Amino acid sequence: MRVILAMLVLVAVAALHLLSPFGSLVEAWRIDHGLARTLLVELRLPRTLLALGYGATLGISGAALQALFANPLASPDITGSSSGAALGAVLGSYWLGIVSSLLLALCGALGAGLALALLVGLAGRRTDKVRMLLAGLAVSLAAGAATSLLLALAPSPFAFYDSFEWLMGSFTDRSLGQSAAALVPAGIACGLLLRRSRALDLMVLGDDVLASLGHRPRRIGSEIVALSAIGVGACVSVCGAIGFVGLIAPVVARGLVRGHPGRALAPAGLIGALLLLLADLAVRAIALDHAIPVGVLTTLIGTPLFIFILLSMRGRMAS
Amino acid sequence: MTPLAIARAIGIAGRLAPTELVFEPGHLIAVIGPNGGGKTSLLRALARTEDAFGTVTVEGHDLDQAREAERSRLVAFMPASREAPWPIRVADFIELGSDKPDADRTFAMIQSFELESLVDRPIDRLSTGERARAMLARTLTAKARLLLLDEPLSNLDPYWVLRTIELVRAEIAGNRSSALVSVHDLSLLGRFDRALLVGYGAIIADGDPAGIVDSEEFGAVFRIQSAEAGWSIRPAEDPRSSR
Repeated sequence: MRVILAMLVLVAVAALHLLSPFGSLVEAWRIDHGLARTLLVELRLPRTLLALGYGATLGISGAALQALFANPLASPDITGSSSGAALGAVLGSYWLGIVSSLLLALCGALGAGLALALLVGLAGRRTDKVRMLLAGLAVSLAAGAATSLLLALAPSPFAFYDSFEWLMGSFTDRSLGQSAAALVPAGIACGLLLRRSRALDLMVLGDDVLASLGHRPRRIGSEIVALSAIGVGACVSVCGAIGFVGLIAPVVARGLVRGHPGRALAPAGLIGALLLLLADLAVRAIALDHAIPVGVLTTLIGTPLFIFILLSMRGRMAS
Repeated sequence: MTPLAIARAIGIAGRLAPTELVFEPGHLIAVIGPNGGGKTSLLRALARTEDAFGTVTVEGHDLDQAREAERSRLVAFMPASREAPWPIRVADFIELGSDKPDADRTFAMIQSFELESLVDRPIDRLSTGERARAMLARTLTAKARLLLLDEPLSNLDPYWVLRTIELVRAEIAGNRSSALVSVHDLSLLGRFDRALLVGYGAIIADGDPAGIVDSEEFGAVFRIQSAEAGWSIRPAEDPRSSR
């Protein structure tokens, strides 16, 4: 029942996102039916699909990473995988001359995967929470600096300017083809991540108990890292990095499933999609003549929540 | 009598040499030995952790081939670590022991281990001893045929040491299962049906607990001897061995 209700809410918000502002759609319909259809399918639909799919990907991969690292602060942005994906995409686009959206998604996935591998190498999988945070910070900063360097030295003189629009986290002016390049790999990755919900719940009991129940902890670990990298990398290569949705959605989702980290994956996907649709609706409503990247808004809202989680963890560690 | 479980050439590289074991149903089996001798490795190899080799069959089923639902009915493992990395409620933690949670069974376990007042607390907010009881409850909840308990008594107060042995004894009698329990307190050995003495990464002796305590190997492996008031340190035969 709760599931049906949540799906209905999501569909309603997605429809609202697709159809608003409604006025311009009606106006286009009056002038020419084909124009209205073009507006809806070519311009609006990619934006709605990307907000929905990217949000779900952030929620699911964030929840999976948090479960894997047993750390409520793990998420695609905090682990540095979003920054790694941006680096991969910039390298592919400006230095390797890749134009195909799907190949750029692959570059993003490779960058995200390398960042996660580097994080695990630096901090280990079951490390204390602060150490993981610091390793993630180091990976993010390094990837960010490398991205800036690649843009500054790029053959194209407009690289910096272009990449602002591309990598700041925005859904405007993306084509259906780009949406597919991001969302098909991300959808497959999310589907496979959801199949690991039970194993991620059992990870609470420790790797040895997980193994005694017939699961293979090391393989599951690499699988989660790879799948999260594919999902996040593909989305970042099309829309740029979007902060905090992957951190907040799983936290809210666990509140609905009595804290089980694995069972939280599906609701985290739902909440992530909802959050990103609402955030994108908000940036459209706030600024009619200025395009604010939606990633800026999620980070502005997410930072206080992140600090709140940090503070509540400090209380837990002290006790 | 048909054996409950058979272990063929099980071990863990560098920790436990290939070992053969057969377990009858209804036995409470002590696993004893010095630190680092291989007790934990023996239990982990039987539980089929990722680094274990060999095969273990329980009731004729090869554990490595069994999926989660079947495995949780064949074997249950409680590791020595009392760490709980994720803060879920105690009742939910116990429920994770079974692939199809049964509210009556979970509640019975909560009652047995007197955790009623703690069920809603996050598992990481319990004392070490309380957490040990919650972990025992989790391990017993699926009524597995072979229970593998790594130092379950080490953080418990005297009442809970005795009560836990009683509870495990009642479980294996009720389910015709068997339990391997690694212990350090040698005064408890009389409560077990069989003892495995593990040292230097191998099984040194296997049999009746009283017989093992009296054996020559026992003193050599543990480097202690029986004295008037319990035990005393054995004078080293070779000074180089007294590391």
